[in-house]
Amino acid sequence: MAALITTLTMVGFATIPIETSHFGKRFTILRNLMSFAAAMIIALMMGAIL
Amino acid sequence: MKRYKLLILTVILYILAFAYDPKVFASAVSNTGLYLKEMIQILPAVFILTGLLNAWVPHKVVEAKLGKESGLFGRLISLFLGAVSAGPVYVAFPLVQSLLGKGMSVGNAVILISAWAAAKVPMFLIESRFLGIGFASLRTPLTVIAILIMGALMDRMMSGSDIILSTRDDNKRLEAVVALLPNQNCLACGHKGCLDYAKAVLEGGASTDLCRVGEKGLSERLASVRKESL
Repeated sequence: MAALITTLTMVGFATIPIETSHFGKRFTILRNLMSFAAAMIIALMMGAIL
Repeated sequence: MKRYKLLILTVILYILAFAYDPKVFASAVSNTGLYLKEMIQILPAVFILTGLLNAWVPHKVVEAKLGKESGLFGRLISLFLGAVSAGPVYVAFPLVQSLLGKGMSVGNAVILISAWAAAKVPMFLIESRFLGIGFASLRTPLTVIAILIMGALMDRMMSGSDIILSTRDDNKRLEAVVALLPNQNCLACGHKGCLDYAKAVLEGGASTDLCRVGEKGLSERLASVRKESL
């Protein structure tokens, strides 16, 4: 199940500064938080199914 | 000097790494080399594409197909664009910023970026090979669903002009305004080109309805960007 945390490619930790400069703080924070939550949920679901 | 803060920090870290253990330094440098190579391969193509998009694709088209009213179809198109991409996510940022300036909805921007990051075709192939096709075939659709939901949520929470106004970097804000203009550099507005007019609107208080070639509503869009950034 830990392998499913690969879905965390959606949360760009190192790319946050450049994402902020392109799109602003609010967008970057919202998108990354949601991506993180989504990754967790997906991982849980996959753990349950597989 | 402030612009190079991150670069200076990185160089210091490299020096520290070398002092700590030359092998760590060597592997860090070779990793950076790989990333640079990857960027060099894809960035020029994306910049050219973005430039062409800025100049050739009218605001009307982007807004109709990818804007707030474009519905499910717009979302699917955004998903597709992200899925057939290549390269790391951050390469998508200039392109998406340009599209946002042209009227793409925030939700679709999120969908495009997220698909580019986590649900693209090359990734699916690699993933199948390393983690098994069962894994990949389950993760990818789940991810796609999550991405579509995220897009819908973001649409409710933010609007495109929020983004243009909140970009801290003045250069990026200028780029966003330039993306609103037709980019024909026809000089009809009396300025030395679209970049010049964009600067004049943002910083010089120029009138927003000077652009004769611009689409309907351009003047209002420029005015709203300028008004809120004051």
